[in-house]
Amino acid sequence: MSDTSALMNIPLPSLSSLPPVLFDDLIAEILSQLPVKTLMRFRCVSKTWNSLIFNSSFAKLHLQRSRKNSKLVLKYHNSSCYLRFYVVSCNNVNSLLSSNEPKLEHCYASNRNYWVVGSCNGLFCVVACHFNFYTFNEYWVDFWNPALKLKSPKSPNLCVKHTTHPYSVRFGFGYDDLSQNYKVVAVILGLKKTKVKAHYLGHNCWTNILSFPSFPILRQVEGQFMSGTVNWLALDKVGKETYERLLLPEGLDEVPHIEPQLAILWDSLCLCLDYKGTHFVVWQMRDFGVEKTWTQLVNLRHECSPQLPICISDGDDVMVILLNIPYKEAILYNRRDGRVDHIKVCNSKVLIDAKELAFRECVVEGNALHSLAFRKHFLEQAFSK
Amino acid sequence: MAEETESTKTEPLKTAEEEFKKLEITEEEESELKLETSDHVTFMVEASIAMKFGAVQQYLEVSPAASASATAIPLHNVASRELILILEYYRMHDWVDAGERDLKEFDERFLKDLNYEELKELLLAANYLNVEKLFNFLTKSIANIIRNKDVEFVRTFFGIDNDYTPEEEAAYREENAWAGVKFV
Repeated sequence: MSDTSALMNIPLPSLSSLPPVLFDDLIAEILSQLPVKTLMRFRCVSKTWNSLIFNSSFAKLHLQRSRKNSKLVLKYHNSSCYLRFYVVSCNNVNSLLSSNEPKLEHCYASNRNYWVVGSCNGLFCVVACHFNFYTFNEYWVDFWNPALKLKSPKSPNLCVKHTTHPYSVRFGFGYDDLSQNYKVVAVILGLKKTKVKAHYLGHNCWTNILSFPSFPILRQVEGQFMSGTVNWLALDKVGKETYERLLLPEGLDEVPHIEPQLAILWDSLCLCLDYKGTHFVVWQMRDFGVEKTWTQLVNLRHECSPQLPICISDGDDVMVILLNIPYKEAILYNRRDGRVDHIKVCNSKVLIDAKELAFRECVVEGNALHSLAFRKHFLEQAFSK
Repeated sequence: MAEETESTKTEPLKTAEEEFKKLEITEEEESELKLETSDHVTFMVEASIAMKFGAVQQYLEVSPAASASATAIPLHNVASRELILILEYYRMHDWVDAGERDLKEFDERFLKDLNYEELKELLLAANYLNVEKLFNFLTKSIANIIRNKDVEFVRTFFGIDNDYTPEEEAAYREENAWAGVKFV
């Protein structure tokens, strides 16, 4: 019985002369704990490290590890009409909303009116439009990786014949498992036919993928990405390039005065709607695609219709709902205990007109990143000439 | 008793050892497994701890007889010095009375007592033994060590030869610099 304690007294054997060498998978485990900024510095360590960091399985590992480090992107215009996207850490929701000067980490500025289509694995897709009332509207998209501070050049233009109003195109962004690439889909609503076109990151075209008889689709432009599908209040599969319908919760027979919207909260699809102008209700579809799992999450009485809610992680439990601008107020909903707090928003300058999307910092899949890096390089050369 | 006046910092471990000895006395029956390290030292280890080692589990799946017989389970890639440390770690973390603070203090001290070479040796051993908790603790700790260090430190730490040509490295560093450039 005393074997083990006796062994403690054995003199330790001396270290072997060769220093220990860690294999690549151990190095990957260590590196996956580090933020993207540090990883970019460590690309210079060796060729092996460089290819390891941009390996797609490493990207996945790193994404798993960075689940907790949620960040927000806020969009706002300043007086000179320049648009900026800001990246903000949101480890503490209260301090973020109540501080006068939130710490803005990184900014993406443009003089175009971009809007965010969506974010996926740390990559953002933004879309802009040039309206031309006599011929056709031109749309294009950009990809932006805030963690790496990389931005792609604009995609080829998507020309859409001018129909009834400029919001006749819906966009969705997500990762397509089949092609292993990031993909934007554009749903072009026509009077009789609805066409769907797709653009893959790094490609130089828009391809036709689907056409079906038109039916009304609500005004929310950005489709919500969930389990390989992009969802509007009519549903479209990104991966298989087909579409199907999902049933909404029972008892929702009429479209409310303010159109309902879809959002992704806590990794599931949610339906946010205004009920009779007095209540704000959020339904969550617990298991995607299973209609029986629609559950009412929030039912709040309100004075003034809230904006789309966002989910920001504070131990993954807090959801923030931003109220309309004049009130400068946010509603915090805690998922764990159902508590609802109203708090004053001090930094309304940032939060006004904010387009928030929670994302996780990640080294984007090797190919995507390389194509961004390559193009950035290419652009610099073009400018220097 | 004079020991009591000593720094409280070392107390948790001592108590852990005492507790462990007590357990040994009271639970004479607790089954043990014989483990043999690469430098041919045999250890009698409580089954409750040894079974946390993936490598031991795997060995017993293949040859279940080893658990009862006197044959030692060979650990080819773990030297006795590492196994002693691993057992120390698991005995502390397995100890029911250890509070969160005790464990934090223990972890800090455990790490402080290791030099970089030992740390890497231990990570290799933890990886071979397939011990999740210690493995995660070590990878996190190493990540924290290198987090704010420069490229040269990292190369020395891991014993990596720089295989970039000076031109390539200069280009990469420049490229890295633009990756840090703001858009504004």
